Amino acid sequence: MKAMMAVMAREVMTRRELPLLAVAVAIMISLLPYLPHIETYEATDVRTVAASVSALALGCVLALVFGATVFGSDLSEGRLGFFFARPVSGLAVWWGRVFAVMALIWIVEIIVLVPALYHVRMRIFTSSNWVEWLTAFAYVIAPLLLFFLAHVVSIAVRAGTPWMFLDLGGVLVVALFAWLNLRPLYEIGAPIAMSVVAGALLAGLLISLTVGGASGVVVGRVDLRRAHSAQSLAMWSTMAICVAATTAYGGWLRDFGPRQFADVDVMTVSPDGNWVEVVGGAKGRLDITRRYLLSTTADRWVPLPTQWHWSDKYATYSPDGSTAVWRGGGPVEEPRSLWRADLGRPDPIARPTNIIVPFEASLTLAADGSRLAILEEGTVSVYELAEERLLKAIRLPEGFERVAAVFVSSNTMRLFAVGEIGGDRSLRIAEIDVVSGGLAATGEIPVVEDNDSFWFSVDADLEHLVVSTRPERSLIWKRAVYDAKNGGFLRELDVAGFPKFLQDGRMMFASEADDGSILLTVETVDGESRLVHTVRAAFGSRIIGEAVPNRVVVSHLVDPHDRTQGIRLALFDVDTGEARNIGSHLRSQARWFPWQSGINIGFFWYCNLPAVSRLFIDQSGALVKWDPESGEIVHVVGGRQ
Amino acid sequence: MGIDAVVRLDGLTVRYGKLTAIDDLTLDVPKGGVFALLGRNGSGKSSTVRCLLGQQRPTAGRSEILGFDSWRQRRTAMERVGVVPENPDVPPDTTADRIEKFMARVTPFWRSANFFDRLESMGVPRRQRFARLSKGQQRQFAMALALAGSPRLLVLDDPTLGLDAVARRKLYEELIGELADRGTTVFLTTHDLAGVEGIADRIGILQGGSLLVDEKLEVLKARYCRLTWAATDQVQPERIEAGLQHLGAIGTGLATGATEAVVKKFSEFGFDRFRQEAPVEVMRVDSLSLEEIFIALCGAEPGGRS
Repeated sequence: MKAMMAVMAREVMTRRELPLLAVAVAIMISLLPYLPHIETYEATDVRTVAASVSALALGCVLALVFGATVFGSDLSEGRLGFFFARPVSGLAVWWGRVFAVMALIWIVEIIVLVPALYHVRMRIFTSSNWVEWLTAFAYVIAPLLLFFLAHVVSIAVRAGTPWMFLDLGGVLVVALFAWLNLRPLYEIGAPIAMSVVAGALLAGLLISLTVGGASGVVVGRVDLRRAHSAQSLAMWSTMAICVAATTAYGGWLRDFGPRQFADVDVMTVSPDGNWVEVVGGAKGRLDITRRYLLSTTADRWVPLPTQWHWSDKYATYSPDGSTAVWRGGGPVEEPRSLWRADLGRPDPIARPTNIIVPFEASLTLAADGSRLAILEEGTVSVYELAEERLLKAIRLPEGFERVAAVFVSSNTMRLFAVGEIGGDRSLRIAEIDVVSGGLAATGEIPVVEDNDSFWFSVDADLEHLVVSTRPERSLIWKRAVYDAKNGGFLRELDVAGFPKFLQDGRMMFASEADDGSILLTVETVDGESRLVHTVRAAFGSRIIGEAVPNRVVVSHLVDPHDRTQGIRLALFDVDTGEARNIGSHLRSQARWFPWQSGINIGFFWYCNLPAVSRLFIDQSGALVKWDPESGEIVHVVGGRQ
Repeated sequence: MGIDAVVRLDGLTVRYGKLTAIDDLTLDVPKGGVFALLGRNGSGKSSTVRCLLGQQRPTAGRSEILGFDSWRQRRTAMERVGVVPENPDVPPDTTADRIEKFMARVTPFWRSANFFDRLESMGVPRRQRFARLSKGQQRQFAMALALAGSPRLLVLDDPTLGLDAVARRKLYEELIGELADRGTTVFLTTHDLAGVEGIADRIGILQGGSLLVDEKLEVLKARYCRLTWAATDQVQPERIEAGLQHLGAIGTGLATGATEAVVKKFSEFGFDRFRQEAPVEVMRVDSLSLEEIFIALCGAEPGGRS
């Protein structure tokens, strides 16, 4: 330590002019605001920006210059022997010089930063903003990294031994591993994990450069060529260990199955409720999530691409629940392969198809999953899914802009489209014969005016359609029921609340009564039969969905004053008005908008999907389901232990 | 190794790729006196010194200074060693005042007074940067640094390189005058054979990385002689050749009216055998200078790498 301090003191004394140079720079920065043209800017801003940039730039430049010369010059000129002819250890020579140079660089940075620090009143030292601390950290780490980097490059270049090939190979291998480690995390969309792995690689690089540089001096001593060989061996050995450890850690972060899920998000649910598309994270895996198609009835799952982008579509199911399709992994906004899984098989596997799906396309499956329709940019392409063969590609006519499509049979598709023809905005209905490719307009509902808000509800059999519109600057929603095939007007609705079709075709409306209870109205499409129930409710109560025919699940806060107590569930009979508790202390329903699913024909469509109404998240974060047969809440997957 | 051996090289081998710079060098340098390691350029002297000072790891074998392994225990070994390198390696931007502070911290037996007294006596300015000193002053500076800690071993790697004749003589006188009294052992490499002849107690000669000679100078000089005899047709050349074998002749030549031979095993007994075998008229038996011995030994063969 004494020898190291002596070396350090000597090196500092040798370069003692540097702080004076920094003081001169700081003074110039302080005077900058008074210069012509610059005086129009805020003086504090000018000083802060100039000081910040100058300090970092000066620190980096000094680090590069010193890194390339402090040892390299002495070694190549044979002057390092002075230290090695004294009772000074190699480590003392190495660290003494490194600490001296780095201390000088950091002092220079601080001095140059003084004008900025003075004007922001040293705010950085009390800041709780991690970005500011990260910036401050850059002032420390960047010169250190550049110093070591310049040192090892300088030794390698000056020595020019065949070890240079190891150095070049090492750089390529490390770059490759960095890419292999970071790319999947970028694609998954896990910025925290990516930062941690990148930080680990950076730390590994710093450690390797330090070990390599120190070994070169300690082992190579006064021999430049031996210094290079010792440096290369030590540096790349250390780097190999660091990269291997980081790769193993990165792999461990990404490699987990649904059994390890802690928190679970449900993205989609198959119409029969037997499969769910879940995204979950696991304990210790930072912000990495994995996607799976997961059976709710058996311990089976199908991995989905971990690559994920907010604009990606979810999995699409056939209405009978036998088939699921989804877009495979690949660059964002690029066409990708379609993947499929036969969910009816005992052990379904994901497999790619030859069908390419454009980025903006939406997918629709026939009832039995035999045919697939891809909607994109005014075209409906229908495929035989089993044979992966294009059956027909139908160009849509003008006015079919926002299109929702659904198979009403294997050979027929019905289209609902909002579009404008000559200033006339309408909801248009058409049917396509997927064998002949013929398109026939079957109806038009001219209720959609410019700037209206609109929602549509459709029943499971696609017989009736409710259009809810609210003109701009109006608080009143108008609702009417139409024939879902020909757009024929049936009647105006005079009940408050968005209508939702029950499985038997009746409409259900929920609205809040004056006393805070929920007013539940159930009526037939023709309006001849109407039942009105009052559901006892409190703050936070909501209708979740029709879990079993004619029975809806209603959730209530266990304690209206304490949301952490979660919710309890009641099953409400829409015919008798009777309610019974089916579960308690759950966190939330698994999927919001349970009515928007099933026959998935677009975001503005309400469709009833009973299976979604039976799925919940419990207080541990696990996905659970209410089993109508046993009446029990059953664990499906996940949850913190 | 003898108990008093200050330097010990044991099977020291240094290779640079396929080139062998030092080949299985074994050498003991006893305490006290001046040991001069001689050799042509590229004979392996500098590599030997670097290994000895722990600055270079030998390919095989080991070297010791004062009983410490030069490579593994370099720091401890160097506490009582002074070094004057072939090219002064003192940081060029430093001054005597500044380097004194550094040396005082790292060298346990450092005596600042010794350092400054020496500089003063040699007229080396204390506040002048090392790079601005003359070559001779730089040598003196390096010597002052090496001696200020009262070393038990002083390693001088060609210390007279670049010095004029006066400075060289002064340096040698100093070595004899000061160090002999202190009991400091001097390990010296040099090309200045005439200069070293007056001060060295023991001589080692390296040739192509191998040690040809390692013995006291007086013994070396006693056994190397030049015989001169009158040229004659009376004695058959074969008889002369047979006679010279008893003296270890390493070369013969013609002089004006005479024949010369350099022998490396001169002794009274051998000389008598020579005269019995070859009844020639010996005109002279001359002692050889160290330089002549060196040339006789190394003149014909190329050296290795230094």
